[in-house]
Amino acid sequence: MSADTLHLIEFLILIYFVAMNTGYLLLNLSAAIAISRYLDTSDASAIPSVYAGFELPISILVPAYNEKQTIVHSVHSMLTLDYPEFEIIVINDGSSDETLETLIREFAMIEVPEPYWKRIETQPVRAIYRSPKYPNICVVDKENGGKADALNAGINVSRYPLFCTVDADSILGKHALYRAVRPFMENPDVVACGGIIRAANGCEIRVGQLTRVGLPGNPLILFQIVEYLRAFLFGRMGWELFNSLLIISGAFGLFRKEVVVSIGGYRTDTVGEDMELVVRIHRMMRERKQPYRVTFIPEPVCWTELPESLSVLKNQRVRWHRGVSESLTMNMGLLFNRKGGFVSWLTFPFMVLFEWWGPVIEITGYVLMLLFYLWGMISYSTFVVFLFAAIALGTLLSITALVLEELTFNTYPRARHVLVLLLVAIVENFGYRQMVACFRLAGFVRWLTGKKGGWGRMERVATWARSR
Amino acid sequence: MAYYAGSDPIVELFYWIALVSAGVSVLLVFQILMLRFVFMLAERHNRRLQTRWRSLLVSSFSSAGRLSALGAHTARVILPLWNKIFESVYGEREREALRDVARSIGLDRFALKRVKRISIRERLQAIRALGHLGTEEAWRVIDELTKSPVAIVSLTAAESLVRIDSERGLIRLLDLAETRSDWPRDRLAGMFHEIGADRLSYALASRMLRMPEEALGRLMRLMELMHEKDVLNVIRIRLRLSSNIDVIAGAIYLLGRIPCEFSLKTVRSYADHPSWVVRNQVAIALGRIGREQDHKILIRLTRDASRWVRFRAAQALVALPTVRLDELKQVLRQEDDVFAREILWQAIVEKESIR
Repeated sequence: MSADTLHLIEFLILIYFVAMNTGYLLLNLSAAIAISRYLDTSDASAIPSVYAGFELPISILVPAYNEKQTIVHSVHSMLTLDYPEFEIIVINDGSSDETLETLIREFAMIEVPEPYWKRIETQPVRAIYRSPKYPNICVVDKENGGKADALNAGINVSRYPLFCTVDADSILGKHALYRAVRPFMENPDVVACGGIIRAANGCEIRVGQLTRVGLPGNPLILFQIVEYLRAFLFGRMGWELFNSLLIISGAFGLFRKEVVVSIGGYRTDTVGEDMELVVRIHRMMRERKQPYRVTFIPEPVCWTELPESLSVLKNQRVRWHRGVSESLTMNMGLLFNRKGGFVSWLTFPFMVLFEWWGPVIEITGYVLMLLFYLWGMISYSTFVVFLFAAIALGTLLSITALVLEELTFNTYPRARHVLVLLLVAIVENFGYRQMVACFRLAGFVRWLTGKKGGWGRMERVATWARSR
Repeated sequence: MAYYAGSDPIVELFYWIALVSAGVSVLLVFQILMLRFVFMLAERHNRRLQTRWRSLLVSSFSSAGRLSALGAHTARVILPLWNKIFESVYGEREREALRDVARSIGLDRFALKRVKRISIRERLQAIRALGHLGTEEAWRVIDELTKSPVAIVSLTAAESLVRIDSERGLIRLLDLAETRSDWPRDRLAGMFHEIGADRLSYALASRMLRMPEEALGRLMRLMELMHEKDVLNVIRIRLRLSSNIDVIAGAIYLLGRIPCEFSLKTVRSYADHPSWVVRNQVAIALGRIGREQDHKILIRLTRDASRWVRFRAAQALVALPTVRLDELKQVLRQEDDVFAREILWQAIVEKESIR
């Protein structure tokens, strides 16, 4: 390889690194502005109080597949939510365990001859159950069709204008619905709203409610906590400012039902149905020239169990990255679309370059530099400088997310928590981030080879369910 | 990295990027630690300050002590506390005592300066305090803030105007409510609720009689907070000439909460309206105030083209105290329409399970 080619490769790697990290740092800044605006206008002690009863009623959709272990606790937890009018719809997606029987027994459900209104095509529904004891609980028993299909069935059965998707293993904050519904109350153009998801591992949960925030001892979860801070605080809030948020996590998202129905509901041929839906909302609303807003609230609204083992984490990340690949390729019409605005010209290309192709380029960069060094094409000092730059920029990004967290919510109350997170933010750059990039690369390959995925299964440890 | 001797400009650039990033990271780590330290100190200090001032403010209800003017930092901490205490007491004597204290420590002057702050949170606290203080000279400043493009600022400013001068403020509030379509309806309702039906009802009703249809449709549900006779008066006059769906549906919704002959007659007359939104409201309203002769209308609505109307009509039918379940089962047996049969069957099973 000639010196010029080597030079060109080094130069391309440099450009990519600088562009990506500058992009993320600017996102951080944008997130800081968005969070500060949010906090400024949501100070309940300074603004006129609301008159209860005017809130939009909400249907909570809980898709469940073999969730026998946690589903009852989750539903009990949702029953304690502070919101005037909501229904909980659990969609049993052909579970092979006793999810359905457990629900029927626990909540005294009875089968009702409810006509199934197929506004969105789904797998056949076997039965719909309602509870005389808990009139706002409904269970839909259907044939297996995947999470997206289960959500579509939930939308078909729902009675209210807004629906909220929640994972069966998640714990919602007591006021989560109140917080998430505010953007809908304040702006009729809002069609979707996401919220911050935090790790339930290490926290204390009693009677289905989070009572004490804590950190777990497992380093793998600690790494993920810092990752979540990065992803949610600036990965989401940064784009919110420009109405170009492309991801609302399936673990918690509130949507205007009619808009989702009008675009055909969730697509069942992707494992990233949550992201795909949001990207499609952007594409369709812009094509229809309808005013809309996809928003995000920076407050922690949902607490979820993070994978405690490497194999589960790997499966999750492979699936997530496949989902990103599918969501973007299914909506390529949004890329550099004349009517697409900010989302078409900045967010989508950013996602393609740094999120979708990110792991491919990152791992290629590492491998190339290692090979160049082993083949004696670059010096040891060049190799070390390259690694040093990658690690230093990674650390900077994690630490800026911690600064944002510290300036705003202080979710982790004790000084010890801050020290632990700081340490983790540094240590995660020595191996963990590279490992996750490899998992994402595997997801990319999985997408390329077109291997089919099913329900994102995760081993539930459900320590919080046991502590009820 | 002492062994690094850069010669290649790209590698050198990498080196400097890495060095700057590492340097900034170290600074940020210190910033986080400092922030946490300062935050803890500030919180402790503020807590102490608030505890002291809470007792001072509460003791002002019984004895008028002389307090000296506050410094800017203390005033910033005390202002939200003063607002909170003011809003938690209802006696006019206690509130006057709090106003006296605020004036003597210069909180009024501080709040007047604060309304011009960039931070919305601080502006909102200041606007609120000026409203409670009822200072007439603050009117002009606050009135200017009602024009703010930030809905929550203009809404809070309008609320404060009502507090400063209830009559003039109410007129201004209603002017703004008509034009500010960005004001969240539930917060506006919160303000109307606080003003109370006695003061609000006639003023809002008079306004609603001449309001453009778009604004009327938007504010229709707020009539829940008015006296029934005013609601009926507005509906009687406006409904005659209106073809706006929001206005009609809103009126039917309200009539469903006021059981009287006029309500029943009006609701029934809209049972065949071309909009399903209106027919849906008719079904809900008849489920609340309907009589025996309305069974037929509701049964007819269970055959409606809209699924929501059918669903609401069936739910309304089983909810009516005048309907017996065996009567409904009889209707079900004779029903030809498959959709009506389905929805009635569901409603009957649900009703039976609850019994």
